[in-house]
Amino acid sequence: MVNIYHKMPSEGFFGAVFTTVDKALNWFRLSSVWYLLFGLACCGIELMQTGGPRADIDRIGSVPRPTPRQADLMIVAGTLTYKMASRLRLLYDQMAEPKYVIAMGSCANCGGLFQLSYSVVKGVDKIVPVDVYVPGCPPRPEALTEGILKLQEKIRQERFLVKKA
Amino acid sequence: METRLILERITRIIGDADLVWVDDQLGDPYLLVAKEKLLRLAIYLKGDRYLAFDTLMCLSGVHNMGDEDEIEVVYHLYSLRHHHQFILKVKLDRPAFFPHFYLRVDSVSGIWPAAGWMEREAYDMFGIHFVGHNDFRRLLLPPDWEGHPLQKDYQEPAAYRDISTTREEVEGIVVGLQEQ
Repeated sequence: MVNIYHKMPSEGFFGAVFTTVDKALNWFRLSSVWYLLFGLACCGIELMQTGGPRADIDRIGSVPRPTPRQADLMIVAGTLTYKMASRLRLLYDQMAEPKYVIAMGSCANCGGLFQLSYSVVKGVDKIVPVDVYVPGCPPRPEALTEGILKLQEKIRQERFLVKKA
Repeated sequence: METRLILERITRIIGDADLVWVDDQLGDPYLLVAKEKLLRLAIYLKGDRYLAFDTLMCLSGVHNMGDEDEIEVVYHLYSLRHHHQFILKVKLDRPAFFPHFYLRVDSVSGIWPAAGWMEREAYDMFGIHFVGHNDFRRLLLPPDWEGHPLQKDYQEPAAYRDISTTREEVEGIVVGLQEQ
């Protein structure tokens, strides 16, 4: 993605980086995917573990944010009930564009274990658009890290400065 | 105090009309009370110095849909002063025609404040109206929820606030329980 031209310092040219604005913007954005803490159930424990020192997604630029205003990514970790659904939508609407959603765990993907229950939403994608689904009950921190890497690949391919046909 | 002595004391004061002692060896024995007598009995159980049931451990509901359609309210009482416990039950008929009118019982939240939330939960799940509760609304489910999910004939609606309550089947993937 980046072409580096380098010449010897003795020739008076210390090196330059050439790229397109789109690619640079994407690079900046995918390197700082700050996520909103949205632990609803036991997946929230794995979400904390993912941010902890062992999996440490801080090294790929993801740090937790306690407010939707500063977050780019919402990780819905856990069982979403109908009562909570309106709150989820509200927090999603408060996030600044561009924003992404990861559905973490079986409950957030499709209702999971509680699919025959009366009070559980059968999948977060009924409330907000979901970019990456991470399966597992709950997913291990490695799986969530992989989900964020997949999201980074998605961000890398986006084109913001080109008008869509 | 032993359960037998508690029962003797209750019947001596209140009288044994409208009280049925059930000890069918299937579980803990309990006292079945007519719903008109409940409040009077509750006041007595708390106020009497030898009984002194100062704690309501649990208030719950049971829906029996066998030969008779009835909903039970179960009160688990405990005395911190004397360390004995007692179980009360009230049975409410649930006729097919206009059941809300019959699912009514006096609230004991004025006697045991702990009953406040438990009665709201029982209303949430079983649709039992507790008369005399000072803040009576749903506790766990959202306020615009329809129906009471732990009633055995509860049908899950197709949608709640335009969120469909079923998962669409993806081609080739079977979702949910399938009948064999």
